[in-house]
Amino acid sequence: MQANMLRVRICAIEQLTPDIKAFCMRAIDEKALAGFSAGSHVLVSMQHGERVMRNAYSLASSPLQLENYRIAVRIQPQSRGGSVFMHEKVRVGDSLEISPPSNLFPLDRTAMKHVLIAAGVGITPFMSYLPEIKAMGVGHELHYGYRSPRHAAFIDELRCHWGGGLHAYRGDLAQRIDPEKILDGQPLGTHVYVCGPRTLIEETIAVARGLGWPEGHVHWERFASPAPGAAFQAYCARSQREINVAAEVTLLEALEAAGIDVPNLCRGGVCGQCQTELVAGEADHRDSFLTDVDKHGKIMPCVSRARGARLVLNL
Amino acid sequence: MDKSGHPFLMPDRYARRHVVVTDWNGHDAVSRFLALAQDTAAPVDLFRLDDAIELCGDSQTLQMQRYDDIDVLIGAVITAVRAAGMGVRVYLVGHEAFAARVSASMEACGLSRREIQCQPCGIATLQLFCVHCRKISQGNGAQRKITCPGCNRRLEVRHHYSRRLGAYLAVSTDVDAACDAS
Repeated sequence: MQANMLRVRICAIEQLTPDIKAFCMRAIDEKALAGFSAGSHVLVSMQHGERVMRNAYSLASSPLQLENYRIAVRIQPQSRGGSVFMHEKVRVGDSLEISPPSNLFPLDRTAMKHVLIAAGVGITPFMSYLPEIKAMGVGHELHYGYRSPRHAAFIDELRCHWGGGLHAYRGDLAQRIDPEKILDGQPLGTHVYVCGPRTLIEETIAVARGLGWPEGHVHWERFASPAPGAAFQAYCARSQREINVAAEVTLLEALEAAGIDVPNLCRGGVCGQCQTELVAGEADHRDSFLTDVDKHGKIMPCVSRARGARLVLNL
Repeated sequence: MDKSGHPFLMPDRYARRHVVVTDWNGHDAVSRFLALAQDTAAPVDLFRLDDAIELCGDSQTLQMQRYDDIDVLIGAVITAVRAAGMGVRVYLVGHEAFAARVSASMEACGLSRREIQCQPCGIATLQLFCVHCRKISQGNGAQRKITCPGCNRRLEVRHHYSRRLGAYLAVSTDVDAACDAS
């Protein structure tokens, strides 16, 4: 177990929608869990035979109570299996190892108003936002798009807490989130937060720029889980070790399994923590962090792989 | 850059409205800016403190408002930026103390630093905040020691700057005596 990982026990599982399950967890020694700020995520370790996978999940519970954490997991059959593991193998009473919370998607403390835009499972980080927004006492609105009422995770809770501040968009009625309509006319000091597919994020960023919003007022989080690829070899030049990276394992996971710890935070190719020097070999870059210049000598092992048979890393 | 090495103000091409606030008589900075702003699609509001000579430039196409009281000026600017909402940019041209005071008011309204540009002109003047009596007075950039007009203490101007107040902190040269007295 890595230093300062937390051991938790699953105390409740709820099927929120046909493909999303919520997991409630308490600290295994019944102490309080670590405090966190709204927008934080935890890395959940999933032991599957000999493989250890770690996926990042947003905390969907209030930061004002630390008796339990809640996460929501959408099942993705085409992925490497983390969500499938959570849905099919985890039961109430099971224990899991999670990292302490870290936050790559916090609220801006100087904002006069927060506008939240969520699509599908992208609603999860916003479940932790409302208690903090209410404590700030500033304007807020939530725009939530989902396929159909059956697919609207947390909708009853949201209606109860947000009231008229919640704007719902039903895909089955062809209601579409329109960033232009949402952002136009917002008052000074508004910040927008968007969590959903890449197209929605890119459209919101482009609309905000066109309306003259400065960059620091647009915040986004994308749930990118690493896709599988072809198997390859990774040679660590400094420790002189040859590592096999199997098809459904990420380079980061293979390094960790071999006892080589690489700093990491998002495990989705956005935060930059796991940046590693690439000495030789051609990388298949799948991240959203490195610039084109950086891509010549660096790699993000949490998502990226090799284009050929072998990479040499400065580890 | 201008003669003192400050970069000239550039109108933000993404802005939906430009609000220019100045206490400066000179033609260069504001006129140059207005000429550049004509290339953007956004309208310009111009606010001036003082009743100095007419600016050269096409003043019929601008909204120009003049005030001889800085608090009334700031109130009018706040009304204008609030009406404009997101997409507004504020450009401050003038003495440093004036710009600092207006900038602090803009941030209190919710503008971030990215939405405010400053071009200091003239002799450097600063706002100074007396930590003992809390009065804000004006000093020039060369003065390291002043006498506070509020409490008459002899103060040393510190490097510590408060963006919220738009002022440098000034502390008694004899701190122990000052604390005993208050």
